[in-house]
Amino acid sequence: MNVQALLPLPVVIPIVGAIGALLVGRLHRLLPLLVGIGAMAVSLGVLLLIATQVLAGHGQVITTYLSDEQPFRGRALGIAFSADPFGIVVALLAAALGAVLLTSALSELGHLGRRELGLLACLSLLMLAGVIGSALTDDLVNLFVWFEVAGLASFGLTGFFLEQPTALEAAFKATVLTSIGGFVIFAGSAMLYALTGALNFGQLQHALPGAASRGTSVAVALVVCGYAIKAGLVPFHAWLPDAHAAGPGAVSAMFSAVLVDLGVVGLVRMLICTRTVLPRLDDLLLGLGITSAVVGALLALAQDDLKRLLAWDTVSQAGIIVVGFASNDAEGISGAVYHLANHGLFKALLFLSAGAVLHATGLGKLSELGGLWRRRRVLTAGFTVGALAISGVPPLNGYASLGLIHQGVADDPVVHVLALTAQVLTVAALARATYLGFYRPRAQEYEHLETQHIGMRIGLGSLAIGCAAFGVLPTLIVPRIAAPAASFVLHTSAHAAGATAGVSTVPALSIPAGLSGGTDLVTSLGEIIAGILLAAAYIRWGEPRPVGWLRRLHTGSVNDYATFAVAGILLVSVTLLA
Amino acid sequence: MTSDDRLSPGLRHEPHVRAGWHRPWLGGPLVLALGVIILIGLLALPRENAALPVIARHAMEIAIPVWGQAEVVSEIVYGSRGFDTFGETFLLLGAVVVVLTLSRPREPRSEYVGEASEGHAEQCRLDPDEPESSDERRARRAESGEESETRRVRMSIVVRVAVRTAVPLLAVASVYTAVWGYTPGGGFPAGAAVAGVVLLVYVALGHRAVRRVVRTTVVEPVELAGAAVIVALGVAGIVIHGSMFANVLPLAQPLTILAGGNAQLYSGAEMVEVATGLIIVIFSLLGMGRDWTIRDDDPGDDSTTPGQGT
Repeated sequence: MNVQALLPLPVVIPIVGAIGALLVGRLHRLLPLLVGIGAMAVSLGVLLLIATQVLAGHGQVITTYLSDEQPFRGRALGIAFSADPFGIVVALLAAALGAVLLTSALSELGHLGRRELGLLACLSLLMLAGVIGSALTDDLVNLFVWFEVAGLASFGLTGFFLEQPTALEAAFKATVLTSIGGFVIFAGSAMLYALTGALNFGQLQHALPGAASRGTSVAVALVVCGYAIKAGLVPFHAWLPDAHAAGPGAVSAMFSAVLVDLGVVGLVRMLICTRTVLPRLDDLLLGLGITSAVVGALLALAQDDLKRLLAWDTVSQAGIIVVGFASNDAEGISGAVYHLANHGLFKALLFLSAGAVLHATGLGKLSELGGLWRRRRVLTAGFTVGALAISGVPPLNGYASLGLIHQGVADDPVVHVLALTAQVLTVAALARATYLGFYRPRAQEYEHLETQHIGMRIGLGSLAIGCAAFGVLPTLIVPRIAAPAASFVLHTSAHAAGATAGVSTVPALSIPAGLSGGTDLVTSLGEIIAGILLAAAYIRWGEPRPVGWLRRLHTGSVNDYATFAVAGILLVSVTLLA
Repeated sequence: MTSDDRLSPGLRHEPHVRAGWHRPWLGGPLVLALGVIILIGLLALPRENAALPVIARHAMEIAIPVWGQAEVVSEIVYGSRGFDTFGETFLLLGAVVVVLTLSRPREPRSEYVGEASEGHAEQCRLDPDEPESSDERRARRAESGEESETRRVRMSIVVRVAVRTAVPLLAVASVYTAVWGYTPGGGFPAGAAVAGVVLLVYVALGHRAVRRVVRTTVVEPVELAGAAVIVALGVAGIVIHGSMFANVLPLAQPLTILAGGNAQLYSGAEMVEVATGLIIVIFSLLGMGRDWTIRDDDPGDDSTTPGQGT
């Protein structure tokens, strides 16, 4: 059997695990999570086997046609499932983080009820299967199906702690906004099929007319908006901080580190397919991305709830990743691929630590926390490593990838300055959180302070090691992983050929790797100093008035959030139509 | 718009509750504008007399020779694009599990759970001194069996006899829909019809008549078995033909019961999946009565017991 035939297995294995998780819960409480960890490990193993072939040389695309429905004359009725250098990164990340986070959940949540653990494991596995499926599929409708699977599973996980009224409210908001997303993606995909007769991405790329018609513009706008909701781009973002802050720590980590990527995958596929027809889409996504980066970081700085702060930061980071992909520049795109992985690692680490703090103390607000570095050293170390990585402190992983993205947008001064501003705000937000939550002296003892279990330490430790490894090895990661992925995203022909012909080779692309020269180091140092000063000023003088206005715009009402989304759909459609 | 008096004191402080005046004025034009955009898109689509896409014609050509299906929709759903249906099957399973998660009763937890105590604090913050509403009181009393407003009244003999007569016919008809595979979608509508039959029995003859069948411990393994058949069918394709969901079963004469090979078995498993899934969802929602609010007289709440593990 060749590697092609194995392509659907990384999706099928977690699904089998999900079935198993529900069944074995009757035998022992912890079995569902153990089955989950096993399923993700096997899925990861298969993905690694596939990755050795996909990332060999300059990168390759390998495709299998499901139901043995081979394409004919460049057209495909069946579903093409393919591993390309970009999709495989997302899939690997989902499988690896899934295994690590389920291990942490096993130790931290192992004492919950038998039934609820089974349900938790089942939903987590379905969500991870959805993300892996979306990363590997090459079919417009199949991508929608996996979007729905992952989205639906996430509703149950968001509302998991039924004691929390806010968790249920967050689940409701996520349901409403994701349903709007599902509707526009489906409508847009149906329109694209009616216009081109294509479901396969390669066929779609060929079938789109040379210049955009009104129909194509509207259809692409709808699909883009749907995935932008999942990626949490402003103005489609307002549900995300609620949803990612509810739920157990390991689940929040999965949402921010993995599930957001599903939206990014959808956006990148649309960018690749329509690059020649709708060149304006790049600029549009650049605008949405940079707005998200700044707004997300600004509101992260203003939060009192630790997990909510991290969730707002996810809005910001997803924005920066989209900026990289939309930069239409080799360095920017490879930086975005790299940052996608890095964000997964450090955001999982941060959420896991924040979740553990909440789980152990029952307190989630920065104003109530403090002094944890004396009482919980491992947790504090975990959070600190994550905060340093996100702040771009060398040699941790954020430094290298952010540098590449910033270089990618260097020729656009406005975007470049805004990206640097977003980074300063991010540093400030994380510095403030780390100080207030962990290092600020706290006189009185905590009412509750549970012990840390071993699985949590393993989770935190492996993620921290990941952050360090991805930081010190850019000379290995950039040419071997990020460059092929960037080349795949830039050279649309490889994508089209891979989807319709079964296999294709990605053109070579060389990107200067490694910790680049002195200016980068100086910029990074400047950002960190400015960020720390800003954090200090913020703690000392409190929130400036414009931030308050921005906060008040987020009323907490799902009606208003839906209104933002509709306004966003109009904005995107009119921009693409004009 | 809600008048202030009807709001609980806790809710009155929520910023969004009273800020609703702008919604009709903002939402109306926006929705209208969205309608215009979608209309622009729809008007640009090919009209009804346009040629069918090549892949759609291809589906018609291969329906009988490759998949043994006289019904093209079923051929696409369970044949050429079986993997989409695979995803949708687990979309349905996901929906069922989400309902089970959100309607589950409280379970004893052996350790301190920070999220739970934060949640209890949240509940108090949201409604510091709201008196129990009459709805809430009634629901609680009904649940504890003290008072039930709806007396158990038997359906009339006419209804019961009619349902007893119709149910076997309906059940056979539903299964037939999937097994013979002449209906667009096969297992999906058939599964919904089977669940409808169970509901009909429940409505006419009461919970006692279906009690033994609709228990989660019975239905859930059946559902998971259906899911396992679908996975096995897909993986068999990989093992035998190197392509997931490739046809592995022999095709009989078209228009006979075994005609569809893979597609027929897939459709049958899907029927089991849909029927059991809907039954689980409906009956867990009907049985949902446990509330998670904290009360002073709460006996079974381990998570708030202080002093454990500290």
